[in-house]
Amino acid sequence: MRPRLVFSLLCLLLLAAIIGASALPPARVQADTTLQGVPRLDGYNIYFSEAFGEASRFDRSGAGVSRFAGLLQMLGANLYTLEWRTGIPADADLLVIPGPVNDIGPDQTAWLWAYLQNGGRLLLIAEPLVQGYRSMPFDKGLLQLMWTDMGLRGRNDVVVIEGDLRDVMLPAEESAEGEPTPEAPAPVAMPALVAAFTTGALNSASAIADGVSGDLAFFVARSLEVDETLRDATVTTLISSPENFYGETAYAGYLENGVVEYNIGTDTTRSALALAASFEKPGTGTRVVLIGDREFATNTHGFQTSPPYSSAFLYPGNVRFMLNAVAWLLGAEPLADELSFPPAADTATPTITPSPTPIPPTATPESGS
Amino acid sequence: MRPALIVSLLLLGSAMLAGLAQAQGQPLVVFVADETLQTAAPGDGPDSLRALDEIFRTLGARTETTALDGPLPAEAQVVVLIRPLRALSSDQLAWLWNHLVRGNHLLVALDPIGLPVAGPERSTPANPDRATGGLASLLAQNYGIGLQDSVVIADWFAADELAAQSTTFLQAWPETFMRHPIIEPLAAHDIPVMTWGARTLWSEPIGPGSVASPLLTQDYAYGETGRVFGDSAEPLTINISADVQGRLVLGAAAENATFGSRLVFLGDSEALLDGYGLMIDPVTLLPAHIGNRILAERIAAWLLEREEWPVLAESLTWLSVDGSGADWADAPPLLEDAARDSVDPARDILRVYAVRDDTYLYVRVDTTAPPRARSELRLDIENTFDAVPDVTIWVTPRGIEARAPDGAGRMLDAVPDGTVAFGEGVELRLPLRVSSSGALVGRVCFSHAQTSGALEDFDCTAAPPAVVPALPTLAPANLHLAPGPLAWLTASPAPSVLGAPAQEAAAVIQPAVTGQVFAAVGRTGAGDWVQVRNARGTGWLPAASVLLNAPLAALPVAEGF
Repeated sequence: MRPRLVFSLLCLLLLAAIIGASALPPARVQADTTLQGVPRLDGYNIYFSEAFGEASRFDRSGAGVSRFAGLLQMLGANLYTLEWRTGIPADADLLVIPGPVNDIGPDQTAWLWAYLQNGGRLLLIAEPLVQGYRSMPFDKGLLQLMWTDMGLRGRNDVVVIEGDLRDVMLPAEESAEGEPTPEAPAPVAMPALVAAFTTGALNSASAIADGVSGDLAFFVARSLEVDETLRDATVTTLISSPENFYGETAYAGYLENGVVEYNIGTDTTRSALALAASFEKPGTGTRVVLIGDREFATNTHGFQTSPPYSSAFLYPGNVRFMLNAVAWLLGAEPLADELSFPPAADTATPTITPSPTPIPPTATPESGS
Repeated sequence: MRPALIVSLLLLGSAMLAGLAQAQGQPLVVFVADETLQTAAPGDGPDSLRALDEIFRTLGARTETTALDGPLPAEAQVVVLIRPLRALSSDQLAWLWNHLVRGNHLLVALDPIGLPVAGPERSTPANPDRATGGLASLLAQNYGIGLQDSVVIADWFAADELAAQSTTFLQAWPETFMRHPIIEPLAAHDIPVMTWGARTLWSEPIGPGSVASPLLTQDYAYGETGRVFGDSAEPLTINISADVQGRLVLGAAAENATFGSRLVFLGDSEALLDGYGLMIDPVTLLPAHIGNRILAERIAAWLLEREEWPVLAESLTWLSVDGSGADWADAPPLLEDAARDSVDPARDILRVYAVRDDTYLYVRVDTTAPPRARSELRLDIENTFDAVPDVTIWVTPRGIEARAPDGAGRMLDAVPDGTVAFGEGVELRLPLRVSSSGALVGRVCFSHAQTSGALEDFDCTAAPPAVVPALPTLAPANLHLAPGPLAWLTASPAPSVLGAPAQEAAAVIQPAVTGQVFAAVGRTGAGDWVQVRNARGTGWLPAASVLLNAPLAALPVAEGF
């Protein structure tokens, strides 16, 4: 009797030990806790467009939006790349078009428009039409449609303010045939244009502004035209420039020859110009956020960190605004708590105003003569 | 009789079963030992990974080696790929990638392209994966750690020193701004990690499905992108537009949330090799580079997903200079001072604590209110028990200085490797090089230098000098000097560091450890002795006993020698 009891007890103990050892769960440590307190985006399907030269969510270089995409993924969203040839999937909760370089074609515009008319959600970043960007002029295609139906579009300008004076050589007049070559004109003092700036003009009445702290940084932005008088929809300016900025419509020419001229009637009037705006139509459920600067969300501009390998964002306002915009577009709960990113180190300065926009070197009087 | 036999047999069988279950429960670590890649692997010799293999096994893992000539074992949790001298082929990369996408982990260390390797069986220079290669691209895209085609170069390097990786050593430092748990004790205790011929990396903090964090950085070198090895080596001059500048990342860790996979990527493999970073002094059996040892142990623990970190060696001093007294043992204060005998509570001394180990004097001063940063503090130190201070340590906004204990405060020495932190109190770590044995701590004062140069004391202790207790532990690192040429003691058994360049001279630092690294600060005119320095002292080593990472002739001739 006793040996049997000992044997049974030993077997029981060994069995329990073996089961216990094999049942230990793997100690997978979950990823970063820096987004604790931010509502989850679990289950939401977000499609990124890459067909028109947009900033890529896979691009970890300065020009990409991998940090923005990474944050969305950390919040639980499912990210996909949109295949335009098959249209916009029915399971798309949000479409992100982050700054197309090439214009969106008529067929893609048709897909997009149908999507929006049927309750679609769109985060659109429309870069100014300078420095090789030829997409989305204000009077054609998608922006024209948006203006007509949504009271919202981007202008063909760049939001600037005059900076320090500098000598600029005006273009020489061409001489008529047989006439002597005219003398080279004397240099003219003209202001440099400041197109990279920060602004604190955020519409605090919008849910997207919740928890956004610090100024928001822009790096060559176009102004937006906003019609807030629509009856069945709400159009809201979210971010504005400081009061004394204007919209330069000849910015490409300025980059070429340094000549600055404020043209009343042509340039956008000096005022607090809209830089980001939202559209909401309760009847259909459509929601759109439009931002006039692609660099607002790119890795080494709006999402720049210091040190660069850290998560200490130089412009936490940009980061929070983008996450808030996505949460609002998806209808997720408003963001309640502050993000817990460390403050940026002093290896870079977040102050970018005023900083003259570089212009091409102009000929000096000596070399020009 | 029969029941006893049955019970014995059953016990034996159960024990075997339990052993098998335990083995199956043990994570498997696979070292890639591939002839075509010429990887480093567990074995014998300086280029082997025996110490790293032991670390993994000590942490409860099974280890085995495999040639990367087929799929990796399905049960492998960690793959170790150290110092491949050739790029992975497409099929090798596919096998490795399949291992990672299944949620397993990788430790990879790649050296610069063209680095001459010392092993006799490896006569050709290293030509591992490039920054644009398949391995680097996959790891960059999916983990946020990228490779750069560069070699870490310090100002004092010369082309001749780059002829072998054994003379391209430099200290790297734990990243302190973003403290990954792997390097937490290294960052907390300011412990360097040795590298030999390192390559720079980049890491992106947040990306699609991944988070990455630097582990090791280097502030005083640059990443040369030109050809620096071989016959057509280019001059070692920084090219602003092409070379890697700023804080260089030499190692990083990342997690891919999609796969549930972890990656540790080092830009230097010698840091983990037996004859380099994980070198053991054959006489004392002490690790030559504590930082490398701790790094290797914690990398292994992180990759094995251990819930507890390896215990830090009890034979070392673990006092971090952070302004907090939390890590001080409950020892009685050395000196006590009356409360509120200063008008400024932030400069009202209450208690002074001090201990010393083999290398440093550690001092903590508690005040009524937390002291202001950049407060000026003076500390008298005596070694001869004659009631006369031998040196006064001044803590000023300029740094720490050793001054003569006379009224004029004549400057004796700057103390660049002294450390001070202001927090709840003031904490100091002073090298015994300037405080000698630091046997007694005398008067301690909060002072302020007036514009006339005279000192105004806010509060001073009045107690007589007290004997500083000696800890039985060793400092985990003894070289925190400013950037400059280094000497790597390679002779075995290690000679003592002598007080003069002569065999009969008295020892200054004894015992030295084979593999120990010193600052190389001078030489004799004949070049047969090298003057070296660390926190314990300044002395001489035979030139033949060390390797330098700078030309011997570039060291200044010490005055009088």
